Amino acid sequence: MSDRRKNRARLHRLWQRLWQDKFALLSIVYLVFVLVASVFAGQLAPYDPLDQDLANRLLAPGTAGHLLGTDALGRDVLSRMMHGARLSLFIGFTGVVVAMALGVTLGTVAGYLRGITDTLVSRIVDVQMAFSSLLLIMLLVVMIGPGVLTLILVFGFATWVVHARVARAATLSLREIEFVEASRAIGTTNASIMISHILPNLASTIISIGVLEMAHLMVAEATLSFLGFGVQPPSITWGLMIAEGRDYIVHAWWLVTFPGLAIAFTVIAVSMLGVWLRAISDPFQRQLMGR
Amino acid sequence: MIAFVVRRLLHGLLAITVLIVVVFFATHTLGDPVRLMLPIGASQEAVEATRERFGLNDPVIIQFGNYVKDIVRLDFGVSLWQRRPCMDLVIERLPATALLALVAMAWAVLAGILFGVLAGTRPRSKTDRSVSFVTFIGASSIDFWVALMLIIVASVKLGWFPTSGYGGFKYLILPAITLGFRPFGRIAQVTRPVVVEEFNKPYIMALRARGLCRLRIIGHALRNASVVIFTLTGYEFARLFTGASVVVEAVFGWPGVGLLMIQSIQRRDWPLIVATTTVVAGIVIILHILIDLIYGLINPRVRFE
Repeated sequence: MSDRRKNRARLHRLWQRLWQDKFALLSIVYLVFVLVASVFAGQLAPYDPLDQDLANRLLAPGTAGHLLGTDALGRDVLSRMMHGARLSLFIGFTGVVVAMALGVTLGTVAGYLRGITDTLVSRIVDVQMAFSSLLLIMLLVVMIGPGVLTLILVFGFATWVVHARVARAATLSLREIEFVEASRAIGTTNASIMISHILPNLASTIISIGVLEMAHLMVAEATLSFLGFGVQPPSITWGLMIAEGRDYIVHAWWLVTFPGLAIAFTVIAVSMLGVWLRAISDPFQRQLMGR
Repeated sequence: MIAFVVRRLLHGLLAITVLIVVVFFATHTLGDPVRLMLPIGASQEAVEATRERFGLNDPVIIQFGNYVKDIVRLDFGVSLWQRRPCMDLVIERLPATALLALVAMAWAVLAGILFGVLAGTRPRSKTDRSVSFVTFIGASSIDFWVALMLIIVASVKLGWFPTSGYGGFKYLILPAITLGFRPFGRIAQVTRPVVVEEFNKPYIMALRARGLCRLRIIGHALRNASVVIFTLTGYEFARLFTGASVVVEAVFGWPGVGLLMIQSIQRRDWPLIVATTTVVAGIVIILHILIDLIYGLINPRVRFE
């Protein structure tokens, strides 16, 4: 069978499996919706998110062309949410990318080479796991100073251990496959083996873990922004919107509710996606579903 | 047995050492504490004076040495904000956090096990699916948003509870509910497959054949499953002390260690920031050690690895 036909068959199977799990399907639809809304926020948003209209402060949702109401400075909540999605998603995503780059590399190398490299990396992973990540993140962000780049780097540095553990565990079993043995026999370098044999087989597992971690990082970013240590105004993220709306909670419940719902739904959707990915990449599960 | 205990304690000691080093590195070298403490337009003399006062002009090694010497005696210096020893402040606030964490954990464990058993004894049924859904939501819930939602619904709209503060029992309820959500979800999530696995074992069939009522059978199954649940509960409890409690205390104005940490950051009180972070992280490490040791006590296989 030609490669193209094989790939098409694989995609078809993937689509079939997605269709079987309605929650995962719903999650993907929702996430695509959020992604489109954020990428095209500039064109799709009804108002400029920074546009203050003090005559129309704190309008309830549904009034006069403001679907989700306005905030204390008269800015349209819906537009702010669409723009806020960008940073919220971006930080979560790049944070995971950094964490995965660091974690998967170290984990794979440790798992493959074993010996002293493995002991060293495992010790570091163990010790760092003893710390609550939020605490570590908060401390680092406070000392270095808030900002999007800091946040991403700190997220990566604080959460790489999860990916390292997973990658190492998977590598430990993968290094015994025949391809590795054969490659070693003909003298392929370790790096080459890791890249061409181990990594592709790791891919599905680490991607599913990565997706789950992205959900965690989005919550972490929202929490930090809410506390004031994350993204700073005038940038917009959902967490920051909640922080700004908190003072008006008694009379303007929508300022807090809608961004919160956005975060909650997005996190749930991403988590469901991650769970589904993990389910389909687990060979045992695949067997159950009938490959 | 002794070897196991010693090994675990040594590991804990390593973790605490790394904690001290990392906190030192983060607060002395990585960021600039002087920039943190002083307002932006501070004069050069003020900057120099502050640096002298906190010994920041000494070589790093000397600074580290002094830092370690003080930490070992639990001396974190004097808080800039309250002008009292930092350690006193932390100790003052610990009971409040502990109370909140314990109450939150109590309901989370009870509800979590209940839901987990409900789902686990009826796998793939409607009950199972709805319970799994609810626990999934719980486990991925966002602390501060749930807190705010509860405040809106239960305090503002219904007026049942006060929005924040510390006093009698009713001040405890909303924070405890919020804090317990995630542990509840996680415990239920873990209990369910454990119960499913237990119920697949032959002895359950034997008990049913002998006519034991369902409740007692569940009791037996839970006893075997309890170890896993216990470890998870322990870890979740340790986790409550850090991230979760910080946020919930901040939203509800609950005067615990978490709120102290936030306040110290907001007031740029560097000694207090160091104090709260170190103590809280240290407590978490100690709790982990305790959990592992108790687990080793219950499960002999772990001792002889």
